Amino acid sequence: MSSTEQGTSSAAPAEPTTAPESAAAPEVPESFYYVHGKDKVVHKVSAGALQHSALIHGMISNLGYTEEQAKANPFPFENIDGDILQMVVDWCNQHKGKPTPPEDTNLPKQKEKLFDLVLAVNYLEIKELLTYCCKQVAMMVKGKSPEEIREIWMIPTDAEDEAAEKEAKKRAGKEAAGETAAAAGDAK
Amino acid sequence: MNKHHSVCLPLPNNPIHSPIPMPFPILRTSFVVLSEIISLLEPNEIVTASLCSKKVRHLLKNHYQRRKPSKWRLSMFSWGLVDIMTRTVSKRINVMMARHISEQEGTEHKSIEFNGYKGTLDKGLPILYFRDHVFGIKMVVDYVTDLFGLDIYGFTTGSDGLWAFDWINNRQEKLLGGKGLNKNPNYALNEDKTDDDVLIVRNDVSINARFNGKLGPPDVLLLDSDAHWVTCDYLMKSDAIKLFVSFSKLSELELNSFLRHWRAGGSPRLAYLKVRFDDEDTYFVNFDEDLETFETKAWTRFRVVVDDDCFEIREDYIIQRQDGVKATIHCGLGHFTMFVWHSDKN
Repeated sequence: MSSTEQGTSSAAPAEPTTAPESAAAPEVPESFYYVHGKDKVVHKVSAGALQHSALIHGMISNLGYTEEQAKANPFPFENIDGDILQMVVDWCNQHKGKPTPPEDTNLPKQKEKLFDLVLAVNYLEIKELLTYCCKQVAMMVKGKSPEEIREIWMIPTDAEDEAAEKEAKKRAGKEAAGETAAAAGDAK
Repeated sequence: MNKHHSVCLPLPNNPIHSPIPMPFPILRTSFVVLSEIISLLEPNEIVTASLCSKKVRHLLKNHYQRRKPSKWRLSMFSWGLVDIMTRTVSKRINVMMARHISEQEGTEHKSIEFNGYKGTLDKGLPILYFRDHVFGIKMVVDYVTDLFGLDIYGFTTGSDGLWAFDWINNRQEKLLGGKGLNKNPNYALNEDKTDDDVLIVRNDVSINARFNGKLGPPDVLLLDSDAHWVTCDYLMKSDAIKLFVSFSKLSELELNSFLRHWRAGGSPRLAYLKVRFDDEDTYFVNFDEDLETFETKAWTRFRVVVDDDCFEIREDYIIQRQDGVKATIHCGLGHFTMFVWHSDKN
């Protein structure tokens, strides 16, 4: 359903190869859109798969692009890493037009990417995938002590928070003093 | 900031070395994500997470101020336990506990610390140890109620926990409005009738002396551990909304007398009566003729606590009070249940 190629958002992507559809293919030809992330690799995704993303769905619902227009105007998501966008596109394709099961086995497996994935999914407003990702985050702390949770969720201790706050105040004080001095200099 | 690692780390201070998953900087996520994650945590996990730092505690507290878990019911136990009922009576989760320092667990549990008090994490339950146990119980209960923005809904007590009645009544507007009734263990639980808060109290003290007049009659009464002593006369005087009697030795004669009393306008608040007989083979079948009961095949539901705790009632008996209020009586092997259909639909 999706394919990727190296290119830029302005460059027209080559004709992507598509995986065979299920036997019950829709009678009306499906429309496709194109998205790319930070790496500029363009992904061709069906409108059906993109319905999972409230953000993209809202963007495309009134566009009425032809295939050529869509190809020429891929949606740029410069704030999303290419591999993350690939995961999201894959998930959307896997769940296209299907009710999502309570326990999703098609979740992206790379745990080290979970944070970036959560940010991307939240940005793209893919509610179900966000819930699945958040479940993974919640599962991380099952049976863990506060100390372990601090490690897992990267939570500063009170002392660290206080030190950071003190530092921030100090910095703000210096900046304010600098501004005052600059203003006084200007006045002279 | 903490030094975070991307590999599994043993925790030097913790005897149980469970693998630490890949770190996830939760505080760098958006409000929406954070709220979603919090909503997926169990109450005991919330409490444990809240012990991470003041900042996290404020964050969680703010979350529950915005999204008050109105269906959650918090209960305290005089031996220091706090639990939360999230959906049904059977879905109760122990969330925090205060123990006397003499009960401190060995090193097989993960250690925790809060406000200078040492503790352990036992199967996900944070336990703190105090030299003054009552002080510790108060602190733990205050901590959890403050975190979730909940009042104390139920109270279970032994004879050493009577101090808590006054303490609870002084700390919140919703009073423990019932009276204790049993030998042991003692219990108090605020139940939902509709949207009202009602209360169950059980305890082994001279209830009438302590609670009568001060707190009024109980709305919900549990007589659950050794209710052999409950008589028909006692039932008639209880004036509870929901009445649970277990291990009862009430006879058919006595139950018929109670039904006669009810038909004549007695126990007007009664909405639910459940009698479990001491003899599990007891089967109440013989209604006195003057009670004018008749069989019904109608199917209906009765909400005992929350929506998920509905009884389905069918093929039972109907009895009608002289003022027109009806009740359904369900008789099964070892138990007798009466559902009163008040005009407020119970």
